[in-house]
Amino acid sequence: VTTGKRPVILVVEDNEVTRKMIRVALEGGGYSVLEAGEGRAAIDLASRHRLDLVIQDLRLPDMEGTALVVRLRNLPGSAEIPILALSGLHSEEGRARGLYADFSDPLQRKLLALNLGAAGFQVVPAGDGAAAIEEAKRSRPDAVVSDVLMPGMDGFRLCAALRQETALAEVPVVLVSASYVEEADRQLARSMGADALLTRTPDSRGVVDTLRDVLLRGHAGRADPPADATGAPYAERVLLQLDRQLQLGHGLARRLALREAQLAFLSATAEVTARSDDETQLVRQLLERGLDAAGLSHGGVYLAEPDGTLALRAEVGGFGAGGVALKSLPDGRRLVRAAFTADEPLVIQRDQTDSAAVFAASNLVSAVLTAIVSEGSRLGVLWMASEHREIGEDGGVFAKVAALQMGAALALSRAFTRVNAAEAKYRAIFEHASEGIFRTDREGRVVTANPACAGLLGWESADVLTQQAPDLGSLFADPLQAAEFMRRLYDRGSVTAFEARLHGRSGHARWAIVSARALLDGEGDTTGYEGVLVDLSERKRADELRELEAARRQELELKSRFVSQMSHEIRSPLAVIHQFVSILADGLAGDLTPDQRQCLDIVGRNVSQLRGLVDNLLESARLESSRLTVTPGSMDLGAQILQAVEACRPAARAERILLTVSLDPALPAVHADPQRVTQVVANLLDNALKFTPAGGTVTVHVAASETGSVQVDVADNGTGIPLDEQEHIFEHLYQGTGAAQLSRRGLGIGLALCRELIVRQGGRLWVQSEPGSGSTFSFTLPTAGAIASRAATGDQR
Amino acid sequence: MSQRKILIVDDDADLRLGLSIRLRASKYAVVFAADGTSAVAMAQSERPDLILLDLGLPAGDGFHVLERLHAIPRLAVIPVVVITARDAEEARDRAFGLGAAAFLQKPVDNTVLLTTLEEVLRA
Repeated sequence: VTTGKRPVILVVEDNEVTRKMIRVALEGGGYSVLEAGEGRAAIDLASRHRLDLVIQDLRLPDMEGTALVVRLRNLPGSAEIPILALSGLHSEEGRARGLYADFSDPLQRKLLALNLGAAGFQVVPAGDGAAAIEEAKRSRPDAVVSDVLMPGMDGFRLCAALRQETALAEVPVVLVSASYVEEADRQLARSMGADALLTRTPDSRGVVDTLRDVLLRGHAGRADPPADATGAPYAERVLLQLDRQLQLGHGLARRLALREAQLAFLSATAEVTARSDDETQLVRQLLERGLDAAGLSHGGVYLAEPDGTLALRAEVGGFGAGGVALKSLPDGRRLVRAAFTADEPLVIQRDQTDSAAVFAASNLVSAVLTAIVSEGSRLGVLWMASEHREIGEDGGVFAKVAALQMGAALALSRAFTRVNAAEAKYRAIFEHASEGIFRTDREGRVVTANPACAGLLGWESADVLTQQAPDLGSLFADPLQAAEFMRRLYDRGSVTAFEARLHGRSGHARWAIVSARALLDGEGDTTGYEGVLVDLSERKRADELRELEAARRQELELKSRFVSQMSHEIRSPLAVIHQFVSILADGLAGDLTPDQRQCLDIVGRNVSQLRGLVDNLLESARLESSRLTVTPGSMDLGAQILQAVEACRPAARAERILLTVSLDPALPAVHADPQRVTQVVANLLDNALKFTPAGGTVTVHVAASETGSVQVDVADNGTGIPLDEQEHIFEHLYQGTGAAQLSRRGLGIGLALCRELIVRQGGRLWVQSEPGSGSTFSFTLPTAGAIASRAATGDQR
Repeated sequence: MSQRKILIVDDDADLRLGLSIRLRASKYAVVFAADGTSAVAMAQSERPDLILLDLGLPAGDGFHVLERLHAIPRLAVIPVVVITARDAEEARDRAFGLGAAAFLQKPVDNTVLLTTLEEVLRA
């Protein structure tokens, strides 16, 4: 009835890692595996496939495990499929149910059925002894094959019961067992009316051969009536077997628990690793899951830095009484170090003399320590311990698996962290770059852009820009430039440093350097373009400013040269006029009448004034083109002022003006250029004398003023300057209301020059004046001491 | 003492005339040159006691004249007073660098001119 194909097992498990593990294990054992991650998929598969076994998780995302069992049982033809329940194992409830689930029997029964089917027998299954009797009565089989160890009625009693049934008394019975394997058991089987008691083998070859044999010969029959199923030999063998089963069952349960724990830990690891971004948290969770899976209450993880020092410690429960850490116990450090370098887990027990020290202050009875290893490098140590039971070889194996798994999880987590950090770094570069960075799709639409790119193009944000996804070509203000750029990009696959005017969103255009390249896939097809925009507007503006400044300088230079040329041109005839006026005045060309002399004096005076004007013009032009040099140094201001005043005395005397000087005797040295200071004082005195009527007074007052400076006042009691003209007189070539008068007397250029010279020497120059009562021109100069201390304190003002 | 001879080198005939009147009034003998080439020739032939040299000259400007005078030992000893309408700041340094004894800015005050000539001749 069977096809002879490999048994098909459906694995229903939502945790993919666990599912794969089971699949690999089962396929290794010769089974064909179908997988379902949830209940509905399992039902779908079960309805379409002939299944030999279902292994299912009790916790499924879409339905209760028990509900799935019911649904599977109700599927046509599926009522008899054995179902192995596998719990998620995280909860005690799941664990309990998983352990209660009948593992071996239905699987073995199914295997046996499969093997018999493969051998050409038609198989009618039955779940236990009672069901077998009912089935046998109904279907009248040619032979009965039964396990010995069954809940309720066992194989021996089934055999005895069959012999009581008239119709079934002659049916050959073959018992199979992995437990009742001794001669006494075989004798008991025969006495119970069985034709054979065979030891179970995976291929059921013995069963097949025996069945063929008994079916050929027919039931051997028996001399004696079947033994009493309550008799002494039966009781003895069953009791013996129960005892053996208890031990066997214990070992089986342990192995099962270990496998189960490993699976549970594996799935937990996958879960925790994906969730945790903090190594401390990750280690603690892995440790807790590991302890949970192993059914242990105490454990710890010590992670080492590459240099061997302790990087991280996590402990659950602690090793010593009261939660004291393992490393803090006597001998604790040595054990951790020993486990760190050892290849195999270190299992220690309380009653071992060499580990007495560490257990002395502890309630624990047994512990296992093992190195956490990943890709050959030792990351740390995992320890687990029990308060109640001795940790054996299984515990060591589990700890080793758990430590390997932990190592892999840590390596994975660290790799994730590195990737995340790198991603964050590159994202920050992208977000904060001053260059615009963009990427387009295949059609050239800008689909990715950083804030700088959006800002440069005048978009309110990168999001808005990429939502609109404008065409790359549309970013250029000049269609010709756009065409040229796109042509180069298509032709060569890249364009470097293309200088272009970009068309901003709000109509503003910006100069930028655009570079872009095509993005190619594995086949060499263009998948898009990426590029960089560098704002040139600032640079362009700076260039323009520089050009402007250069032009201004050139203009000033031209003006200065022109003025210089003009002065020269004016001075030459002036020199001639001056010479001949003086020749006439000095009587070198004959005597003059008083009227003639007066006329000549007027000519002479105006020639002098014209000369002063030309000098000032020249200085002024020089000043503007920065050719006027000021070289300040420590100087005696008083001496310079007296010299300048003395030079003016003849003029003052001629005008009958009283010229007085008051000098602070304790005047400090100033930091100034003597030549320039004299120029300024002479200019101010010249003005004062000009604007003071005959009989008036001009006073020069020099005194130390505010801290660190000396103030010079040149006061007259002349005509004064109207308030609204007081600032204008410092402008170059000022032509105010009194222009005729002022310019004729040559004031305009002089004051502007004076102020500039004083400012350049670190001082100020200003005027206080009241029309009718005179003016006071004042200036300050820094003292040499103030400059020296400024230099000392590094004040660069 | 014999009358001292001054060579006036200036391309401006009016100024040459004015200066000659002024210097003759102060008892100087005066000879003239109107350009650079004739200035050097006059210095050779006339052997003046002093040369009053304008800078802006045709056929070799005043600086050029200074260079050539300096190159001829017999002429290099003749003191030269530069008198110019040019921007004093730049010209002065250059003139002194080429051996000028004094530097005057046009238009020059007669007192300053005569004092300077006396001082240079005395030196």
